[in-house]
Amino acid sequence: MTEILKNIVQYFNYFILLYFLAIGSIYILLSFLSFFNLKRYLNNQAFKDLKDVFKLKKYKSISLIIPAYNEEAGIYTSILALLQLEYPEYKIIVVNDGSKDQTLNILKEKFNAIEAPYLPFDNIPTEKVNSVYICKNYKNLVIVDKKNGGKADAINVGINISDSDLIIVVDADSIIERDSLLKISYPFVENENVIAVGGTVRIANGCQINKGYVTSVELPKSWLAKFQVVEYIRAFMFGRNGFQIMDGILIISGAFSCFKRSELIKVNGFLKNCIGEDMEIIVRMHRQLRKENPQALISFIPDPVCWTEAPESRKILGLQRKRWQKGTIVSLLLHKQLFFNPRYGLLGMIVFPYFVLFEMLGPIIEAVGYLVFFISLIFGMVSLNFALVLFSAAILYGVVLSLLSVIFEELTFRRYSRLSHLIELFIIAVFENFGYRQLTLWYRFKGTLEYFLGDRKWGHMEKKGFSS
Amino acid sequence: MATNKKNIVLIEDDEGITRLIKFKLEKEGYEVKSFLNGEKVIEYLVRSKPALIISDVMMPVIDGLTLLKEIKADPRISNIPVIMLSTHSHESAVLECLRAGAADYVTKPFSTTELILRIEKALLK
Amino acid sequence: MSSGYNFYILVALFVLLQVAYFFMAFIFLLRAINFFRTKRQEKFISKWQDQIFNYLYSDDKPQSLISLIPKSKYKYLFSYLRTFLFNLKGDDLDRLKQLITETSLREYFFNRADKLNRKDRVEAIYFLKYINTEETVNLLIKSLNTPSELIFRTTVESLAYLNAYGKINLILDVAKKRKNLTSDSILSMILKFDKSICPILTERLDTEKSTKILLIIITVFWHFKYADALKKILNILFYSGDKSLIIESLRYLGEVENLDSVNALRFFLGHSKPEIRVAAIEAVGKIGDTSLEDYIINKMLDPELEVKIAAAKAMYKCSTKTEYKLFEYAKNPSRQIESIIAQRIIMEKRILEDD
Repeated sequence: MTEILKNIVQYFNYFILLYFLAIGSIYILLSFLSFFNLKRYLNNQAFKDLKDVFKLKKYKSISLIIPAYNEEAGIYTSILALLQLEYPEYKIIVVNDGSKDQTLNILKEKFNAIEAPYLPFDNIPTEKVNSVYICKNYKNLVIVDKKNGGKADAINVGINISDSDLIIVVDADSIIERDSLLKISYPFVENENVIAVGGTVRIANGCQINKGYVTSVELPKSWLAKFQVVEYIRAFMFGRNGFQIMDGILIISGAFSCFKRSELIKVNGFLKNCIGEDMEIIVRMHRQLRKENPQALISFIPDPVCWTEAPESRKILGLQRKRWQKGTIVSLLLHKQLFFNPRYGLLGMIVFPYFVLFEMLGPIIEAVGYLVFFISLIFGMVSLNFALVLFSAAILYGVVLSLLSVIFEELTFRRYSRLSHLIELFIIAVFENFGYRQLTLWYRFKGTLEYFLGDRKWGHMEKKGFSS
Repeated sequence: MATNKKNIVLIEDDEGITRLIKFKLEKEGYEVKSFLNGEKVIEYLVRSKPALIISDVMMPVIDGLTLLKEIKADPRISNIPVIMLSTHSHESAVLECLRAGAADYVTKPFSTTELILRIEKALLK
Repeated sequence: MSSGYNFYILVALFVLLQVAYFFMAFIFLLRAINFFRTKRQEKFISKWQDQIFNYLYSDDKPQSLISLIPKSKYKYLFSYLRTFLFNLKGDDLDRLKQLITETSLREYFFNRADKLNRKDRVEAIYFLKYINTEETVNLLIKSLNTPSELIFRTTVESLAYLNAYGKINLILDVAKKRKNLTSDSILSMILKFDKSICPILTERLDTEKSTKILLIIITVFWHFKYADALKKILNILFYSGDKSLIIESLRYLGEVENLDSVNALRFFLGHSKPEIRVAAIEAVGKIGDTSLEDYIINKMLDPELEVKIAAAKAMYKCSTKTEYKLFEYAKNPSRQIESIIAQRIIMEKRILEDD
């Protein structure tokens, strides 16, 4: 009897080992792909004059939609900064999603808002719109007040009201680089089959911020935020860039994303009451729009265009990660038809299965793996020596990957400009493997469990807001 | 009000262009003080009372139009002529600058000869 | 799991450790390279800036400046020149251009334009646009047949800058064969030409079969408000069944504001597709022709919301009669939707105009 049990544990250990080897090789592959993608992008960028768009009459009109729920702390500065972006003509639509604080009043007062009749151009179903305001001094600013209905609902109201070619969804506390609109709209000009574009997001904690602009890039003081800096660099440098080459962008960060409005209308906007509405819409767009137009493309620009505030407490980080994990699971399960579906090319055959196996089920497999390995250790089925050596190999591999992503950053955008930054990034790259990675794995594991046990709530995330 | 006839304040975020304009203006005998954006400019203007201000429209932190409005709203410096430099010949942006009280505007690409002529014209008024 | 695996994993561990060390060293190396590059760039600027500026405002021979600058510093010179070439015009730009056209840089770029290295090649093609000769155009034409999209784009843009409008047919022929070039992309390249491509494109309308290219050509006419193609566009409007072609042609009619298009516009105001009705209404609004004002007023009662909105916008600027009618709609509570649309449009326009 114990023999059989031992055998099972043994084989399970082999399986786990194989799993880690697989994930390790995938990362190596992704890093190669990313390297080529980055190189291609930078080469193409070198002799492009983005500001040429100012000389043309034909450019894509843009609406920025800012869903705002209890954002009184930072909303005024954020909007002021957004009013100064470089683009020939764009509109800003702030949607107050039934905030319980002074968000709406602040907006109304500071921008001299005047009530205007509500006139939607499309009819994605949403909660009731209370009132619409336009502003005398800021002619491209529209403020909408609506009944609370969640982020997706607020964005949909914005989509209804906008009449622009492109829709950009921005979090109220995101800091946008001034040339972001020029950069993110470019893929749409180059290729009319592009239906959505995402950009690289970086961590703003610690940076010097003046009136809604990052004036000097610094690393955060809190260790939890420091780890996230390296984590973000790695995720965007490897993940998105690598998948981009396979036309398999499955996630676009909700902090800053750009869509063709007509395509959003076709898929009836964002999904209401869905945990990860920003991932879900992308998967759904792939599924529905690529059926209509096989050339439809979701793209990604590696440029850091947006800075966001990272949680500095474990509690909030936990909530965020659990939410992300649940969002991933929802999006994947809702559109499971893509799984190994040759009709969706590399996305269906490689990227989607990767997400199911490693992103959705990964935390469970890894957690059980740790557990079984621990049991085998106790019962003497593996030697302590072996365990230690294996563990160090895994950690070291993590370090190598993080270092590689720092190399990519150094080869491309070099936002962390001081030598001390570099040394600190090294230290972070090493130390994140002792604790932080396990911590996020734990949150993802909890998120997965909670999801399958039926707790699919949003988990509200508190934000500090940037002081101006 | 004693303003220094030959003092010009330049607010422009591109360093290369700043250096070029500075070079040319200094050659013409002006004294130029430059800023990378509209921040802290007002204090300086109040203190130094320059003869003329040249400002880019698009700048980070405080943009040209906001700065222009602040200048025109401050009685101590509202009489100083402001020439706006804009990247685009978009009618609306230009009109808005003129409405807000700009003395003149120059669109990029520009020639320094043209800029000098406009400065001289603005100073005559 | 036996500890027999220990050995292999130890080897892996060792290798990983080496890789980690190597990576760290490599990042420092990259940082150092970059550090010295910026330093050299700064040094270049501080050393040469005043001389370049001095040259700009003097009668010095351009070659006397260029021959002072060592070839190894060209990299910095070019990136420095680019800012000014992009931002200057008039005398300043002419003087700057002479640094390329009347010096050894001319030969330098010519030699590099058909190099194998893609980066060098793109750079050379980019700067060749400042050398306006037959020879340049011929050299650039050769580059059109490159497999690289980047080289193709840079080449077309350089040809546009050189105003080699005679080559527009050739460019479109090559562009047509490049399957992954979309019409927006082609358009963004050829709009860098000026109005002189229009007569050639008008002729092309007679033989061009591809909807994609026709669409591009009409948009070019729209962009330049090129009225001489009106007859041919009206022809396309009536004989092509393609929705996008019709919409683009209607947009063109609105832009050239010619009374000859009134009949066509009246016809398309009643088209079955709402997008086409919208385009027709917008065109009428732009032309502001009073003979169509009653049609526009009626379009407020169109079943489609987008058509109503377009009609309201057009009514605001079309004529005094339509404007008056718009106010009437706004005040009429029995037609709720029309009333809201009218109110909103009036308000928006007033705020935009008022000051």
